[in-house]
Amino acid sequence: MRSFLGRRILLGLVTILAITLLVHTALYLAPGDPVDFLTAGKPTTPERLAALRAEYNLDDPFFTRYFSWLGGVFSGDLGQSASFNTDVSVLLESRVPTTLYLVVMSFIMIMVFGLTLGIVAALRGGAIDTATMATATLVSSIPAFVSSFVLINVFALRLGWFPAIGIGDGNPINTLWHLVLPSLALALGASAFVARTTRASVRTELSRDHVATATVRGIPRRLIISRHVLRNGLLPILSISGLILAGLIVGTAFVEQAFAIEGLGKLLVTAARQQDLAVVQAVTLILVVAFVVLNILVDILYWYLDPRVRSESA
Amino acid sequence: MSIAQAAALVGPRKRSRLSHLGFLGWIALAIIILFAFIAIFGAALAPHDPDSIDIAYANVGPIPGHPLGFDELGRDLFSRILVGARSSFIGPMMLVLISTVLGTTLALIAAWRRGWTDAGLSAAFDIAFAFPGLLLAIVLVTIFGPSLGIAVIALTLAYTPGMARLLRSTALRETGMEYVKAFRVMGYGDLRIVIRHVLPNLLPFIIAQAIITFGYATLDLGGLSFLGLGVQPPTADWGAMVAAGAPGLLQGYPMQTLAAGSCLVLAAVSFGVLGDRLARMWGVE
Amino acid sequence: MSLLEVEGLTLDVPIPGGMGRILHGVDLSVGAGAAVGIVGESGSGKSLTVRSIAGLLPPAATQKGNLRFFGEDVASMSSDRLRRYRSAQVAMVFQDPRAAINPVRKVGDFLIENVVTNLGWSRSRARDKAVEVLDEVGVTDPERRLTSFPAQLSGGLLQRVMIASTLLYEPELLLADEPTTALDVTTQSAVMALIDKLRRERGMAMVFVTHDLELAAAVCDTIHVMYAGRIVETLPADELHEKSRHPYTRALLDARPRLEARETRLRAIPGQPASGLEDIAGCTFAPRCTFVLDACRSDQPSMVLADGHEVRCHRAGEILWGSA
Repeated sequence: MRSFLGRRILLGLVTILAITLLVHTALYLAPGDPVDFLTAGKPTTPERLAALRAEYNLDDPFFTRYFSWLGGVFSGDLGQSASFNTDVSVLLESRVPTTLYLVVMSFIMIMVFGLTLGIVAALRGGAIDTATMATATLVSSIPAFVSSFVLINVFALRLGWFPAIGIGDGNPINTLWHLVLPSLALALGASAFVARTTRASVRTELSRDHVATATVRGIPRRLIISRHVLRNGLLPILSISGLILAGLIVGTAFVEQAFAIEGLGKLLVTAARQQDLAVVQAVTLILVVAFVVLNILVDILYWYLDPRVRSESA
Repeated sequence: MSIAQAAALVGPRKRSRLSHLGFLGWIALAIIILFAFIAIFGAALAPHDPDSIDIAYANVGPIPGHPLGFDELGRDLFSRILVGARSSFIGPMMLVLISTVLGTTLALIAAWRRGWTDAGLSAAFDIAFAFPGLLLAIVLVTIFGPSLGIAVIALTLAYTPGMARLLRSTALRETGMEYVKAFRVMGYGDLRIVIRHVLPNLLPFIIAQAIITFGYATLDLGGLSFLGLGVQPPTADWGAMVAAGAPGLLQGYPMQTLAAGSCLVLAAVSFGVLGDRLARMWGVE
Repeated sequence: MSLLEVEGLTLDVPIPGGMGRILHGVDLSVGAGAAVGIVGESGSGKSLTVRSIAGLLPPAATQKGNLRFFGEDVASMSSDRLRRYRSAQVAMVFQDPRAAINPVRKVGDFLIENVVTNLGWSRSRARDKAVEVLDEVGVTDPERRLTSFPAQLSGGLLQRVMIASTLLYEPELLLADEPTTALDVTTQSAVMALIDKLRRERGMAMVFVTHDLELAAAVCDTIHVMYAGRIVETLPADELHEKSRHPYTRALLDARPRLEARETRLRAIPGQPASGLEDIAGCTFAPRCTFVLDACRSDQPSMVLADGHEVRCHRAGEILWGSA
């Protein structure tokens, strides 16, 4: 177990370093004078330019700059945002929790809807199966940035059940209420995917010989479903969770934009449009770290739940 | 043998190849042809100038002569939708073309050379595949500024490893076939075998996949334009129009956002359906 | 009264373009303590037959005919009664133990599941008995095996575990679907010998499905030869070599390479084995039969009596066979 965990963590660290290095390289290779990014094109005095140069080590060789940035990360200094004119860490402070709530809420919705629909479709079969899967395919073709507005139009404006934009006054319940529609918009596409995958997996499991063995032994159907079919059939869903989370992380950009929510996604997009290097680097770092950590957690969970993996790595 | 195998041995093929396209497949094809037509001739078809602003008509609903009403700057919405088809078609087309060509080339190289080349390329594909296209687009836009071209380049970089990965397994199977070995023994050059013999056999699969990918490309590029990272105003583009119509929607004028959004979804679904049906028709799944 | 009576078992399955008949009126009966073998190539329907007996129908399949367990018609049994039969009186051993035993649960859980859930045994009693039967089938270190996972055991060992699972209670009928096919040759004979010994010791009846005619003859009392979803010959095992009459049976016997004689070519049966789905008028074996007549191609033969047993062949009485 320890070596497995160790290897995964090592791989994760390598990934994080590789990606941040790649991003850093890309930004370094950008045409034009890096100072322009920092000043965001605003007119400045020569002293200010020189100060910026010194602060960001712009005259230093490439790797020195990378490592000084990396060092800054560990001490909590993520640089200065040129376009917002504050510390990057200040910008992140309020936005990280917002996006976190959004992603978690969405993930729960995806699992609840997707698993339920998939299991029902697989166990009931027939008309229910066809209907659910057709709906799933249809829904998954609608991207989050379109479904967001459909939801706003129907549930916020016409029915008035939920607020249309923003995250409310800070009261937790109020925040959750504000996040329902955005989470739903984020969740729709992935729910369809989970439903389809679950259905396929459960159906395969139903046709397996070990289920036949249990049937022949006269085990009650109820128990066969819970103990053998679901327990085995839902395992593959765990392995796609990583993929789903990645998609969620990316999807926040669209949903936060549509619902005017101040989160990491919206920040990233705005910063990119304004060519604010520091913010883009910092947010990318956070997203990549989140992605890697989540994947490691999923791997560990999988290792714990599937004895076959355990015996292989033993 | 299993029941399926037994059935395959006896079951008569009652349906003609073209019937696999199905009712939906034909509709999808029709929509796509219409889409392409509008993309090419949109400017000529537009009843009004898509760029002429008239604030007095901002967010006004449909009136005679303007079936979809106006956008937030008083421009005729119907005309803008027609003209917007261009970037929503050309962009994905470039994206799919380049990523398919590159992806196929890489897949063929990996499948032909096998061994270390394959292992290395596969690893590269897997790593690159895991990197989200949006993030790539963000980085490129940060450096070079937003534009349709940048968005297309970013997504091409993101799509190519995916395509290569997908095509690699089929390519491996094809290059492992007896006829390839026969040609090699006969002394035919590598390039000749691949291009004149292997590639044509892979073509149905490649084309079907490319069409399916076109659907995703439409949505992805539309999404980037929505975020302001792709097509820039005042150019008409469905993705950008979804964003432009958002303030209007919040005030009760949803026409622009929903019309542009519907066009995007319709186009994407049509490509998906057509690609799927073609794959079934050609027996490549 | 026989333990198991199968009368006119017919199975229709969904295929592209409608339903296809894959089993055509299979008849067989198993007396208490008797061993019946069903032999055939792939596609003959032998596996489907025994699965139908066990109630494991493929999805959307329709079954016709009569199935009687201990004189009672299965179709008229309540699901509760059926479950009780399955849990206490019938046991089944599958071909691939790795597919048939749930890989995410412990071996011990597998062994005791039936008796704990259905027969109300306490876990400790079940565990003790499990250790006992594991020992009986020759599994070393049984206590440790109980807490292992299937992935940690070899194929042969796992098959022994599956056999052991049928011994925790006292079933009267054992259904074995190619129990040794998935194993390597040396393990095959060991496991087969084990099944045979245990069966005789406990007086269990057995339906044994295999593609190996000689193996069936060695462990069974009666043999049914199946081809294309029909039984083509039924005879006592010890009469197999001398008295078999059906061209297919003879061809199967002939096809087996012999150690004594020097063969230059293997005497394979020409053509491909047919499945029950084939929609042919006349005898389904006709395309591959060396004794075929025009009548064979137009009329489906029914079972006739020849040499004291049933054969499905127009020419059953005519052809003279030497001793195989």
